[in-house]
Amino acid sequence: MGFSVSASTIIIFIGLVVSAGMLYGAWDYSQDTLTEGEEIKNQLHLDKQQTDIEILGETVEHMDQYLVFDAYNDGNTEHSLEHVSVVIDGEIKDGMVNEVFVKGHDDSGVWLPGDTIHMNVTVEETPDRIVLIVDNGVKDILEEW
Amino acid sequence: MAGSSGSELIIFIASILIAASVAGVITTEVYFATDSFRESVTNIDKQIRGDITIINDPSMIPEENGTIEIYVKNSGASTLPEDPQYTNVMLDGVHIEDVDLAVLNSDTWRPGDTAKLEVGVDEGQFESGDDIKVLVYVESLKDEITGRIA
Repeated sequence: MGFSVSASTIIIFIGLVVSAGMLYGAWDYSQDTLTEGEEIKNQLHLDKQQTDIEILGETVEHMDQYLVFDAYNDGNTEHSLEHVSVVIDGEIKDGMVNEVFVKGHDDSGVWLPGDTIHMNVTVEETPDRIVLIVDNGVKDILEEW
Repeated sequence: MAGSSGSELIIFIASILIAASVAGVITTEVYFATDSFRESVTNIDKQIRGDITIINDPSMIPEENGTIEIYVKNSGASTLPEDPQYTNVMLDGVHIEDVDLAVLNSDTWRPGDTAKLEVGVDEGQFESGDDIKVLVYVESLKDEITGRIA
């Protein structure tokens, strides 16, 4: 009788230990994932606050369906040129960008703080409003130039 | 004597079986619980990392022949589903069923990529100059803007 009690106690105990191991594993995983996610989110927020771009109004020119302008990175964050979007008179022109490059570093794909980029976009008529948006969603609107 | 040891053996086997099944039930239940816990953590993590931004020019939201164009940039750190069934659009508080989604210059909606949503409305429902409130949900991520129709 005594032996069967201790044997079944051991079996249940082993079951509890295995369960505790699984619970700990899940808890550890969730802590890791959430802490990392929280860090990434904070970084994204911080980046947004430190982002400042400016379309240089004096450089805007529209000739023969081509709109050219320069924009300056006045913030503290770098942005991928591939993900710069431009909305002209309300319409997105991402498929109409003929060229976009960093002045002085024509082969570069990143727009670093202090860099000026040059854009050339196909636009039929002289536009009224230009909106430039970088990869993290921060934008600059230029209405009159 | 033989009878008593036989019944002890039966009690022993029975108690082992009961203990094993109790331990089995406990571990399977805990396994299922931790599995769904991990899954929900992964979902919460997606929400935390993800972010969308409507990048329309608020004063000129394009509308043509009953189609409103909304541009949504993936400004977070996770890839979003490009299937329009995960995207919900509300215009002035009304949920719109007819939504088409196309990611520009890419096949997948990765961080930094912009998607063009074509939202079908009744022709004449929105006139040029009308105020409009646009709310976009992609999975559980949300962004809204208030603007005017171009």
